[in-house]
Amino acid sequence: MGFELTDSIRDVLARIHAKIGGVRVDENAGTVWLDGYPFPDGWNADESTILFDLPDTYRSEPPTGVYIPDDLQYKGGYPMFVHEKSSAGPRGYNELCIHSRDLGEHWDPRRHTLITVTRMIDKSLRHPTTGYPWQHRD
Amino acid sequence: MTDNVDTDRYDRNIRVFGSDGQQALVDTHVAVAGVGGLGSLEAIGSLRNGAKALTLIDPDVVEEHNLPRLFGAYDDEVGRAKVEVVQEHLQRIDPDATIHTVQRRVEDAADALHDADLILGGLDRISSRIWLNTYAIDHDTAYIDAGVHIATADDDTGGVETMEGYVQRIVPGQTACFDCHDRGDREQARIERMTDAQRETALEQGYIDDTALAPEPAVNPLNGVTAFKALDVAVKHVTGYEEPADWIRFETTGNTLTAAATQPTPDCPACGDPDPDKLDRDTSWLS
Repeated sequence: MGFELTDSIRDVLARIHAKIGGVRVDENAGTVWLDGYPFPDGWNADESTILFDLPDTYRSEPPTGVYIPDDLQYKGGYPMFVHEKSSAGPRGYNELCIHSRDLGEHWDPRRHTLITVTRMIDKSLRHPTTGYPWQHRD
Repeated sequence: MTDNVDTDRYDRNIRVFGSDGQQALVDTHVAVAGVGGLGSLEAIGSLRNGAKALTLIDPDVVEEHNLPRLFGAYDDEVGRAKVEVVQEHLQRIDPDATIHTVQRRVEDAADALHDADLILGGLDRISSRIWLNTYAIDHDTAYIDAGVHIATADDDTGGVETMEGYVQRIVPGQTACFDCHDRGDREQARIERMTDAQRETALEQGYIDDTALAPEPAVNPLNGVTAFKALDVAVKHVTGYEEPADWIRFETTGNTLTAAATQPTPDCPACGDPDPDKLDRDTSWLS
């Protein structure tokens, strides 16, 4: 069925696009790519791709998966929140476990958006040892 | 006189619903999603009410522990697909009816729902109910959700703390949907969607515990009342002989029943438009 690209989702993606310049969407597959996403110091790339798997029921439910390319490493290794060679997700990507830790439990579809999820990812990337990016304060 | 209604067979129905009402029941293609303790009764009831076209959707086979609640299934049918077992039972009731079977999860059976005028839900998986709600909204199809909940004492004494049934009529644009009042437990839905490998990892890492995976208690008196309440709502919805309730909740422990009309919630994440002032749209941190 694929998720529905509603006006509010388009608005959110446009806001992200305005900041990083690369957003691709496949509604039928339920996939959103953020290309050219800036990675903080310590990672072996200045920018790369973040991939979201969205369920047919998005926004009622959060993304079902969040991924980064599997060649991305932090200081030569994989932090705990990067599920190396997870069975989930597309080939060439590692799953980030932030969604399994926090999204399912805390997702509020009336407030949260892909910007919220991206902020969680950003906190995890900047603080790779943080336990709960949802609650982390910079 | 109705167009293609067997007036002898449905004589008693016609005395209640009228000829036009019975014609509407005959003409309504009903899809039953989840053919278990609730759905088997919804299917049987729909057929006996006059439906001539049904679609049964369920991925499972009959297991021994289903037999106390799965109407139409017999002891020697353990291991067979639920949809086929119930289909055969239905064809004995009405050989002229057209019964389609789909042995898949409803999330993988959207194509089988396209011809349905009305969807009856007998699903235990929250993730499937959230999906079906979204399907109904996207395809402007009425969906009557039925569910049960039994809570027992934690100490294995079998004491019943809660025994409830729920029926919700979801008519996109007219009534509240499953999500309007946050009925879906998203954490449970997330666990249900995990692959076996993901679930194993989550268990090992302590993100979920065994209780989240334990089977829910279930008994046929509660299923029976709930399924036939759903059918009552369905018949009223189809025939219009009386305005159906949009929301019914009853507790068998106290024999209490609550019924209500509902309206869509304007900022519902599934059927409404989000309030932009509430949505997280701040990208100032992103550079």
